[in-house]
Amino acid sequence: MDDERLAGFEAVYRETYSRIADYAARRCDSPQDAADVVAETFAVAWRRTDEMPRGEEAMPWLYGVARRVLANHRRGEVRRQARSAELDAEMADLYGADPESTVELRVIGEAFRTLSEEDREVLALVAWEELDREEIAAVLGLSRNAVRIRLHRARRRFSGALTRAGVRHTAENRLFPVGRSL
Amino acid sequence: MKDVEAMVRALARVEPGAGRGRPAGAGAPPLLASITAERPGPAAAPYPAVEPYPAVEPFPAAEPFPAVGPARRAGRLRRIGPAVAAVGLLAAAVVLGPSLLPDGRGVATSYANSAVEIRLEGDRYVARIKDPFAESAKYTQAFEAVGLDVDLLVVPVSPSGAGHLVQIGMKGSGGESGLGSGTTPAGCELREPGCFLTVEVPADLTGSAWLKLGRQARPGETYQNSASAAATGEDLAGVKVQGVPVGTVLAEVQDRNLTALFALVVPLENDSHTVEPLTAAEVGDDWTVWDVEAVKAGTVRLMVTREHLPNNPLYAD
Repeated sequence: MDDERLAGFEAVYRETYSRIADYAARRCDSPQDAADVVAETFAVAWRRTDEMPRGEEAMPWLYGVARRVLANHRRGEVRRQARSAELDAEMADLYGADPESTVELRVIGEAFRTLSEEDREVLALVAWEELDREEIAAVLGLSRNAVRIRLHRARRRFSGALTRAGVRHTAENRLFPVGRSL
Repeated sequence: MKDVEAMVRALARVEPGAGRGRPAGAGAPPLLASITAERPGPAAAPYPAVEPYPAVEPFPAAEPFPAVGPARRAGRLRRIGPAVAAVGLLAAAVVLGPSLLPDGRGVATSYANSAVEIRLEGDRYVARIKDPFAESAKYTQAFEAVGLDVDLLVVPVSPSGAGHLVQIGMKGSGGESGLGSGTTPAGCELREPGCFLTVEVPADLTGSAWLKLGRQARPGETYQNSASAAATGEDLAGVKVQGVPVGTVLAEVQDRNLTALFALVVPLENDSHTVEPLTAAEVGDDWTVWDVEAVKAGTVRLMVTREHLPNNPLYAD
């Protein structure tokens, strides 16, 4: 039983590590914070391994855990239990390029940060993690319909923020990657 | 013209779909090994939750439950969330740590008294707690001696919380790498002789910090952390308690000769909740338990609702 549990967890870990690392790096100001979030996310997943879905549902579930870990981390909860210098260094590799390297991107970034955490997260799950509505519903623990509404409002507010910042953009556009069903 | 999605996408530090984190790199396999070296808890500890029930100000020692109003809001963690977020931005302007100041202010890089021993190791001060029952002024004095403004309280916690920080705060600049805690020699069990609690403070901290560090509770001491009694090492270790009828959990409580207290969980809008006092006589066996809090050795508090809810209100998103 224990072996099975370990094997199952290891499989999910290998399958999802990359995306959780990217998720953390996109949201944390420093590689150290991102390493903390990655380490704690998987530590929580291990503690809850009996609840962890296997297969395709594991990824949204882990994003959900990562999201809560990140929220705790932002509030100042500190856990350093499983971090290592190697992990810090690897996360630092993801911080090479400044995502807001141009004036335009900085303005867009500022507009993005005027949004609520909730708005930013739903937009980011679409644009950064490339999740579809059903997956986002699983991550956020919402119904698909609630996700649809939240997404619609977030887009509208971001659109408004961009307009106020003088950034030209098209208001009506798909928010989901091509080929993903809504 | 760009669409909204493309603009958000352009802000991603790691390009969407890139898969840059490497599961077979230098960091991921040791992390996996260290995580799975611990026994997984069948029922998870209350961590993490966006709004955990109070991790910071635990239920007061006095029983019966004090008559508190609905003020018992979850997640009112008086921590330094914004300040911590802000320190990241200050990294570029890091001031030399006190140990590097050659200005004759009499600042040492190591210090020891009967309560604690502090040493600079790399870019962090490591404080080894020699006497976890000492007055906190002794710790403060030692930190002062190495030029740090740190208040440390060592508080009784449940078995799973020993060696962990119960509460932290930071003010001012520096300290970007964060406060830490643990045991020395690394990872030792506090029950073993020669095993000490440690806290780590970044040497570049130029503001002030305060920490509450968990130590093993003495018999009868009320815990100051807020751990799930179902977590590994706790009184109800291995028992499934979340979403389970009160009667089922109570049977297990009696089997283990524990005392049960109760608290009513009242979900609020916005996915938070409050906790209200409740006596055993008010609770039915068919009510639902959402988690069980470790109160002190041999005593647990069942967090319950009258109705069975679709989601756990303590950990609602």
